[in-house]
Amino acid sequence: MQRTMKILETSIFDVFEKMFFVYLEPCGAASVPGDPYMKATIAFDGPMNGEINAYFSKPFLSLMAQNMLSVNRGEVTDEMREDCAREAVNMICGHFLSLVDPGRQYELTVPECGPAADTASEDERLDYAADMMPWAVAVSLSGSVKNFEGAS
Amino acid sequence: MSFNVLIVDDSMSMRSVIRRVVEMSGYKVDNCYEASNGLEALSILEDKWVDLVISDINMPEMDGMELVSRMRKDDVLRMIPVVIVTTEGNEERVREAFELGARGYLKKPFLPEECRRMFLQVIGVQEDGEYAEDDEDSGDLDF
Repeated sequence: MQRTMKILETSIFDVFEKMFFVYLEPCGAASVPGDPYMKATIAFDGPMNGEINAYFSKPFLSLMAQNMLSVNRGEVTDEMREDCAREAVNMICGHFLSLVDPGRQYELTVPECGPAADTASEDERLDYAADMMPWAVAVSLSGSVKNFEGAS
Repeated sequence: MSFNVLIVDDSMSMRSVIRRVVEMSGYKVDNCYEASNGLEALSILEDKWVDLVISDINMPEMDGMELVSRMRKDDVLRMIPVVIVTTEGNEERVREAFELGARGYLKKPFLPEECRRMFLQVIGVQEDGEYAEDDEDSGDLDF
């Protein structure tokens, strides 16, 4: 895995462990059981530009909402799932940029979220399982930042 | 001693996390108000007195930087300490927030204990429950 994607993976682990209290396990894209349920997108612009997309399974988003909002499974609403998806991709992006290119300023868009009409491209994509779910989330990276190897 | 706190974030999930940390800080919180952007926050601040504002930066309508800036231009609101909670780890951006008047900064993702510590530091309460010596730099980051 290239350096940029390793940093992205570190950011993903940090966000899900600290804010959603879930521990992810890398898995292959072949583990995806059908279409992802929801997609959250954030773009950034600065010395480099790019976009991060996160594709979530419904059970995983429900687990995230349960953990972050301290609610029971039956209390989780679509609004909560969407909010968690947006906040997750927002934190992943900000954390990723602060690690990959520290000290430089980037403008982040307000994250958008909706049904996953497409699937992540096979390259520059990280897939994870979590908590008995064979596939939970995939995160993809595109743009000029993808091949950045400069900062130490 | 009890506190009124205003949490400003466009994510209800994040507002919920911060609210729980504030409520579990060990200090009595009378009112914990919530706003989803800077404009809503200013509207609340027109009517309610709060002892601490905890605000995100990246929000629609009015972002956290503009909120801090507007508060500093108001003779009353400028006395309220503001903690910026954001995903942005960029030093220049943080410095800008402090220059505008923010008193503390917390980077997401954070552990609940980090959030609690920042909250107490900025309102001047030490870990042992005593109030800290008056120190105008309390809660600020050193550059």
